[in-house]
Amino acid sequence: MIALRYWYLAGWLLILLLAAIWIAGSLQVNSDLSQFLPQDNSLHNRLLKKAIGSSPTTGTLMLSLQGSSPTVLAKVNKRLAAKLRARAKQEHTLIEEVLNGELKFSQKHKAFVLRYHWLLNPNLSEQTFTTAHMRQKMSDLLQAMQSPVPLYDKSTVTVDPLASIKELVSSWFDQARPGRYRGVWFSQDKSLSLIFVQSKSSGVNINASQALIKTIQSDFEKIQTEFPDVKLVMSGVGYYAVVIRDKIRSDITRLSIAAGLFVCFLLFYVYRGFAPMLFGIMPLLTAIIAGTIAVMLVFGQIFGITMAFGITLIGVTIDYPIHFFTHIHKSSTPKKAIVGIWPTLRLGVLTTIVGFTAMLLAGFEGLKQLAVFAIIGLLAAALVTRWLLPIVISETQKFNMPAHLLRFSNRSIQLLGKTPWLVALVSLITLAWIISQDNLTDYDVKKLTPLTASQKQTDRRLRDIIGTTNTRHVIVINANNVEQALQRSEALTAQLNLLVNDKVIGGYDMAARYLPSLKTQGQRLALIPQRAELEARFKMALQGLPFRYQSFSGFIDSLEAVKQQPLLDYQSALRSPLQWKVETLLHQHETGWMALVLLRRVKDYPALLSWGSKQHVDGMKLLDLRQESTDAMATYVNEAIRLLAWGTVIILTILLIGLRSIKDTLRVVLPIAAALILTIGFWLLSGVKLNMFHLISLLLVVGIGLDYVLFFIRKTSSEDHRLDFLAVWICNITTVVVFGLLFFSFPLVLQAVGGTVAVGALAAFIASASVAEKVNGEKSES
Amino acid sequence: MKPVLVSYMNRIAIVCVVLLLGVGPSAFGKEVWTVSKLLNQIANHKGFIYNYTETKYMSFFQDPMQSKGILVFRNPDFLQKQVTHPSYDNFKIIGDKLIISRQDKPKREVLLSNYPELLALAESLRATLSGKQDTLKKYYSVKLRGSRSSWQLTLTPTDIDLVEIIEFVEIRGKNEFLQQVTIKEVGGDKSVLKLLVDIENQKQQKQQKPSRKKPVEGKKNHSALLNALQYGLVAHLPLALSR
Repeated sequence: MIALRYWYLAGWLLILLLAAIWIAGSLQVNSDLSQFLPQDNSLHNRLLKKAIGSSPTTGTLMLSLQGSSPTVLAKVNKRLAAKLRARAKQEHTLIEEVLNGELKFSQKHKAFVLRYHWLLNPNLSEQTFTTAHMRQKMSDLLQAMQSPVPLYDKSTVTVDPLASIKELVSSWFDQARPGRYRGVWFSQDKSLSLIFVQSKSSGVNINASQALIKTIQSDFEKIQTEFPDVKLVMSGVGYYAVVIRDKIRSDITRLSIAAGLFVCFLLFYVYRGFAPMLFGIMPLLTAIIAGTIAVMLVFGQIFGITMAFGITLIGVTIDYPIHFFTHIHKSSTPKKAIVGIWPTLRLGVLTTIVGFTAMLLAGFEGLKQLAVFAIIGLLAAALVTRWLLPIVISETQKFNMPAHLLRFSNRSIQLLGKTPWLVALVSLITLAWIISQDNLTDYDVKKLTPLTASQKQTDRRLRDIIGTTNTRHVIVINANNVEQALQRSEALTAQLNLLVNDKVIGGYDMAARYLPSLKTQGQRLALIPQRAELEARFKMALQGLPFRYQSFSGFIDSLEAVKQQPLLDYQSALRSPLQWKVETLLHQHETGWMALVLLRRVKDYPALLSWGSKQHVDGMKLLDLRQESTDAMATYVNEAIRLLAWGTVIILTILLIGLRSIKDTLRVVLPIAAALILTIGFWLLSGVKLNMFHLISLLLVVGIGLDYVLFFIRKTSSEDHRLDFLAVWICNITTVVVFGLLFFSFPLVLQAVGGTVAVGALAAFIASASVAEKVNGEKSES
Repeated sequence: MKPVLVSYMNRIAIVCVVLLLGVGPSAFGKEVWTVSKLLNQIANHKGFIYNYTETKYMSFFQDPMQSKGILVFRNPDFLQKQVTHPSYDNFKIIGDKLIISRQDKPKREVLLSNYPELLALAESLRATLSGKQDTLKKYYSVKLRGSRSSWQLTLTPTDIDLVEIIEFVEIRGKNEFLQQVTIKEVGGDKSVLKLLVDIENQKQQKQQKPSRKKPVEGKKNHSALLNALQYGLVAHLPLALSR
């Protein structure tokens, strides 16, 4: 028999070990936090998210150099950029391009602009090729030549004497761009010098981002030895993804160690032995491993945050062996003890699992993973507690609980048992107060960003310098094809320019600005006169001016060439320097195309809204991205609440069947309701509005509360009951401490969960103790 | 004996004369007439006012184009070129700003620090006039030939951006005054600026300070194109982060 017991134990440990090795070998941890946000059902938002998430610009790192004089910063900027550019030329490099404002005009860019500027220039009109206009332009050129430094581009002046290229470039911005000093990008006050590094991978690829960041840092450190004052600050999606991941990792490690040490200490203290400590942790370990494997099998990978979150959720499985061990004593062998508590334990586990099942239907990939993790983990822990633990624990194993613990727990619970009316009163007052509050919830996703205030500020500042603040307002234009999307965008241009003039918005950006529709290009083409006519007019225009007509044959030829070459279509634009712009602002989806018009610096939102409602461009929609995601979150939560309502019905049904009494069911439900009310009240009182993660955590509070109250009201001997009290008491301390630790962690999401569960567990303990079966104290000994 | 002595004395005299006439002065000049000496001498003046005649030899001109005007410099960093013929244009460089004003057009301003090659070019004249040797040497390798009364300063760009546009700048002068500035561009075009000190105007100018009105809206230079293209590529970094 003893041998068998050890065989089981060895087998169990071996399976755990092998599973752990397998997990370690094939663990695919994904740190993408956005997966924890709702997946939206509306086509718009799905596309927007894809458009924004997959945009090549997520791979851009913004580097800012600061802490020294502008001259030094400019020098360091040029050197760092040169080093990174050298890397960009190597094979297997992560760097696609390094931009810092230095005038390195590639031949490719130049050739493209020379070839297409007539078709792309929005200022082209009937006026452009009139004798009078051309004469004016040539006089302007003459004037520009008087300047002590040349104010015209010598290299293109003979093919573009009308300065069409310059007009085109000016049209590409309607807003401030970074200023320059000594040839490189600087903030207005010259305190920051900027470099943009475009990665070959997207910013969501955390490992690639991390490698890139390391490369940049090591290059910078070499330069920094000469200029120790200069500091490098990075920003960008990829950078923050790495920062967040590292922070979460270290936080989780710290928390796990702290929580693990505490649990071990508690088990050792209560049950006085290493064996109970080891056996107490085994169900939890089994749960973690089973949960991880289940998620990996179902989803192929596991999110870092699922692990973190999930391990805490199934941390409650430590309760199972606690209930079990507490009931082992002289007259009750392990097998007897487990059989005695199993019906109650089973009911608690089942109801908790039902609670998590609601999460399975959630719209979040992350929450689905979490549900699978928790359900499988809980099941595994319950099963091993019921069937394996009693076998591997020796019949003679002693669990010498200190007598004072038993006395203390019983006394406190009996004290609480005299206060049901107080709990009810406080709960009712809190409920009334909660109902009187206006805003209980805040689904603003932005508030969940795990960035620190200073990181957010850096990001905002750098965005400010490059003029991309407030890109939360977007116009979406849906169309059947590229041409239609571009034409519809163009139809808005005049109106948008008015908005800019009226200072309703600071500016806007759209694909059509860079890639005009073929129709518009055709119209521009039609404006170019026949060669003979053009020659005659240009000759006339030059009369009386010192220019030599023959020198400008390139100009006449370029206009002739435009007529011969094809228009710039979408495919060619993708192979041009305009690629990024076109790719980010124009997207294909299953049913057609979507053009984005990004509105910058919205100053008068109501005016913009009223403008939007007056527009009648087909397929157009004005969106507030932040509002959209908040709405999406609210929609999601409403759906979650509906699911929870069904979950509650199922839980009640299970309870009714399990307890076979309406009165007992009420005794279970009311304390839990009180616990929920008190927890919500706690957050609102501390000035925190409830977000989705608070609500999800309340589910866990329900599960924990069920566990407590079921043990408190179960019909059994007084002796058993006093042990129940002790078990629940220990469970509660464990939960409050472990989740309390989580409350001090870094991601706001985990803080919300930790706080809710810690407070909720405490409230559930107090509330359910108040309805506990009366035990006749010392007198019932007999 | 005597003839011998005489001839000996004569020889010494001849040597002395030779030394005085030839080697002596040239050795003396070489030692003292340096770039620093020249620049210090120029820098002793608080300012200059020149009448100028500029001739531009450009391949796309029928004939070389002439213009006239006044060039004003005041230490340390004010340079004004006022064109009076064939049109009336006014260009002022103050610090790193170029301010352009024309009778019938709004004032424009260009930040030269944004265009290092333009700033470098402007410094060829301005740093020479203010005697700033360090600034000159930052952008050019500097060579001086000739004498105090007829010198020739050749500035060959070393600045990587300027090399692409300018072959050299050659400044000729007499004592502390500039007489002619030739800018030879890459590709063969050149402009020649002939300068004459205008004493009368100098008195007038001393009385009325050049206006330093607040600059108006910025104006983009051709090289804005490059900035634009680069900038255009990163212009809207994603909002993804805020999502």
